[in-house]
Amino acid sequence: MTDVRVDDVAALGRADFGPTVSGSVAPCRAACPVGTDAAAYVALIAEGRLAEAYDVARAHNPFASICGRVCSAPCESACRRGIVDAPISIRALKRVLAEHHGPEAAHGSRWRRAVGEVPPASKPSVGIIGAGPAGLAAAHDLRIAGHAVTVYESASEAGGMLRYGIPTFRLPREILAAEIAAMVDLGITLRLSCVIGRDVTFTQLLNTHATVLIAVGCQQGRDLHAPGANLPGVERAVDFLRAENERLANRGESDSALAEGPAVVIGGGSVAFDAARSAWRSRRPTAYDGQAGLDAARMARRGGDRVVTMIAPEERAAMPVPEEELHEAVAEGVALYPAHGVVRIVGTERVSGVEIAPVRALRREEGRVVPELDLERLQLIPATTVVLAIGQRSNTDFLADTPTVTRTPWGGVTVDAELHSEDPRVWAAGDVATGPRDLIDAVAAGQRAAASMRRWMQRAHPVEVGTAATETAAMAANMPSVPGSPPLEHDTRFWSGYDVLPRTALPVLDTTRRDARAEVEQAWDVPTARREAARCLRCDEHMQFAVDRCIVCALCVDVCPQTSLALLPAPPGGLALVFDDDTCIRCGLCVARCPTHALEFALAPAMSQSGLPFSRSPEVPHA
Amino acid sequence: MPELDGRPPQSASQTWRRRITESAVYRSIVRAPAADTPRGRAQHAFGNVFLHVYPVRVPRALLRLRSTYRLGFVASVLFTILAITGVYLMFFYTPAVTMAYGDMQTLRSQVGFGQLIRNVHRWGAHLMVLAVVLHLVRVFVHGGYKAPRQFNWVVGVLLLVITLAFSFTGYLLPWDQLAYWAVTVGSDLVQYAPGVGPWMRNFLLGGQTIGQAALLRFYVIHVAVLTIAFFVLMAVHLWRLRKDGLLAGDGPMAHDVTARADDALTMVPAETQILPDGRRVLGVVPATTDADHARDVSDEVFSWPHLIVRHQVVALAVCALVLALGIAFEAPLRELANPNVTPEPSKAPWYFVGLQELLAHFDPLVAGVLVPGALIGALLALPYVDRNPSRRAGDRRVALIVFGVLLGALVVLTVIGALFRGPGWAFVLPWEHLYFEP
Repeated sequence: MTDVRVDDVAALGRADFGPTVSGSVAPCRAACPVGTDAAAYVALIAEGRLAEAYDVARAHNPFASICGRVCSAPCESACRRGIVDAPISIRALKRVLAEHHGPEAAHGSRWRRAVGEVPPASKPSVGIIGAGPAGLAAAHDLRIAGHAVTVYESASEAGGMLRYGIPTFRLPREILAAEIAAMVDLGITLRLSCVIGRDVTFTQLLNTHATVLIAVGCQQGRDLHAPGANLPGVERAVDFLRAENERLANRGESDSALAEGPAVVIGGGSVAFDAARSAWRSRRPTAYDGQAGLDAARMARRGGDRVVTMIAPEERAAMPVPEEELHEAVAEGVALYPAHGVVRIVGTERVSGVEIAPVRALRREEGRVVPELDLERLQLIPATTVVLAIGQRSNTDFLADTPTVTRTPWGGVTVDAELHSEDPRVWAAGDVATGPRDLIDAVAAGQRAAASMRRWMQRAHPVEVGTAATETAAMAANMPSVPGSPPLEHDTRFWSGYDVLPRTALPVLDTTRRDARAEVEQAWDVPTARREAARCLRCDEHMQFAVDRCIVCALCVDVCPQTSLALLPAPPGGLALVFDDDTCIRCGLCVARCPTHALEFALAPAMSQSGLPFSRSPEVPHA
Repeated sequence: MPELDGRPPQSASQTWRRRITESAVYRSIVRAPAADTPRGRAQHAFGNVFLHVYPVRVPRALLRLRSTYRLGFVASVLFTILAITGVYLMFFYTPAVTMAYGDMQTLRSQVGFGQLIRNVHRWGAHLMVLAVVLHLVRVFVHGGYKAPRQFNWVVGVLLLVITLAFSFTGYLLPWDQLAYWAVTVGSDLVQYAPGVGPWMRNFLLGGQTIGQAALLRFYVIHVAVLTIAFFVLMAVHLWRLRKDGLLAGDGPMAHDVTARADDALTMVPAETQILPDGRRVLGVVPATTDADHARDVSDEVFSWPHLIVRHQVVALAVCALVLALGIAFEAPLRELANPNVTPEPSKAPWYFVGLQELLAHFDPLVAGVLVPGALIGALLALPYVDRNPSRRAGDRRVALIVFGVLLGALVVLTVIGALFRGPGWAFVLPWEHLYFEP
């Protein structure tokens, strides 16, 4: 992951797809904060080896099932297939894996069964504040390493923003519960409804545990600095989503707290989309337990769906949400005003509308993006409710008595690159350390914090922690083996039309049947998943070239459909075979045509199991 | 893994096309995917026995007509037309002096399309001689015989000789007065070769005079010996063409290409891992061969469809031309060959008539043996004598002038002999009386 080359590719007239390949890990893997080997599991899916694929997907990510549904999928943004047409639907493929082998599968988590007995909690105890993705990811890693782990959660259930932020129609609560249960089952002590500073003080935590991780996230919505922002009817998205999720969790048939009438959501991030789509659903009756979905007659009596408008400062293409999510929001009837900003919120006793104007330019001021509005083109959007999704801040008031931990102006904790705070025994990970980020960033932060804590504890408590060698052995004995990428099946390339296959659309619930609970996105069946996976260009396979076998016939250069190969003069007398990693579609024609087997696709030496390039090429006599 | 094609069919014909092209039988015959993607195009040229004569990609400059004028391709199209029409004629022809002329008349009067096919065969043969000669001239002017293509030039000259032999042997087969006397004139030239001349003429004719033995020999040489020799040499010719590249150094682009090899072709400095454009150096092969093998891909296009479609258009045009000629002009058929009646004048076939004209001015040894022998010898030796590596016209004044003078002389002699000579080889203005029959 370290030697990924990031060029200024745009300057060369190419599309900017982030990290390029160049003999290193595949771009999808390089883009994943937790380093999931997406290329490997996509290739395994294409070959129908779903169980092994799940092992690969789960190896780096304890939230594999959840990520399969709600990950922001930076892997897809980096996917090189995007150069040809559209990226592989990596996230949707992971979901298929999770459904077959994750904790939600009929026979339980394949990973959990492979892990078997977790080592006893013999190592120094760790306290983690917050059972969100960062805290649970850290707890997971530390518990497997043999530490006693206690997670303190202020809410009545674990999950953090996964439970109280992300709506049910994107992440069914059974999936969330199953995934968290599989983690807690490792032997993590979970203390729910335990508010630090009320039930336990932070100092008590420091006295109880060897180290403490703060992973409380960003739970408070930011306020809007515009006239009328204090009018009744202006709500923060995090509060609205929390109320909505709690209402659904209580199986309440009661209506949403949101007032009647049209709603305006301000913001263009995933929280804004969740809020807008939840607001749209909030007037729809909710079906429970197999009861038929929406009743058209009841809908009609209520006067149709709520009118929801989104005001986002970004251009539509620049919105930091997956294309599918944007598409579904629009399909549900959310009116989108991209590149618009709020001038003021209109109303006397209560909100009656929002005055907006197009964004002329976005300026950066002290790290915050400030839109510059074109005030000559004002527009009034009528609304009885305004939902603010313009950022969040942390609440770390429980640290008020702990002067050793420095806090940021927005309530976060100041940490170094190792996520270590200024107190030697306190770490912070996730949104509380970085500000609001995506789920997968939080998971990665939790893992990094866990690794950092283990290193520190190893130094501070060498006897208790044990030697690195025994620890590695213990880990190896308990972790399922991670298979390397399977060899590229060139036959597949020869016979399939993988290079013309379009990105497969995800099956979604019809908009008329959507309510606050029903999951919108559906899973593919296995043949469809294999078809989508077959589109992968296999960036993890690298071109290998045996110079001593080359007879300079240039047939590989001739046959390459992508003009990825060239033979160029290399003074002082020699010819260089030059390869373009960015355009190669791994069709294997060059390998097939080479008369001396001088070319080969192989896993990068560091990642292949044998570590030997050309292990699969036949011996060539006289070459 | 099933065939994966996610594109929905647009119409009924596409549905049917899909049904056929995805059937197991079709896929057993045509293995490459559809040629509508780069990979499909590459595999079509790469995996098809007919198309793999072409490289997968060719320099864009080759698409310009003036790069080659497609003359070699025209010649090969004409050869194909001649082979097909020749087979048809063989069904109705007996190589016997008692029957050949009658077969000609039968062909004209009773065989379906017989006369048309014969016309096409004859005009096609003349056009092929013309095309091959023009191809040679074009390659010379563009310096296409220079390294590494020396030997392919030699093969090309041999193919020219074979083409002339084809035409000459075919000339006798109708067994009419025109055929008989033209071949008499032609074969008489052979006997002037010092020492071996009479023996060679005897070997060619199977006797002292042109009779049954000569007709049979000419027939067998025409339909079998030359055909086999032509195929073998064509295979070598095309193979070398593929090995050496279709364009390197041809055409008015000659100096463009040279410039590309010298300047525009990206150089890879020693120890370079990544080029500025992001391409990665996989390895450097030590120079055991010359840098002509260097191949940049920045200005190349797929043979399929770009070059192949252009070739198809040229092939159709050639077919249309010979068909039009065959419809418009009858191949001549004079009275039955008669050794006792010499027509005046009796001329050699037009491509030898220049030599016949030379006979009027020089000793037969010079005109009949030394000059043609020296011409062929000079052509064969040319790439080894002309060591000037440049293909630019400006650097090759001497070669171009010498070639131009010789070619001009040949053209002038041929025109005089063909058009300006009458009975007794006397000078006649063609608009007063034309003694020329092709």
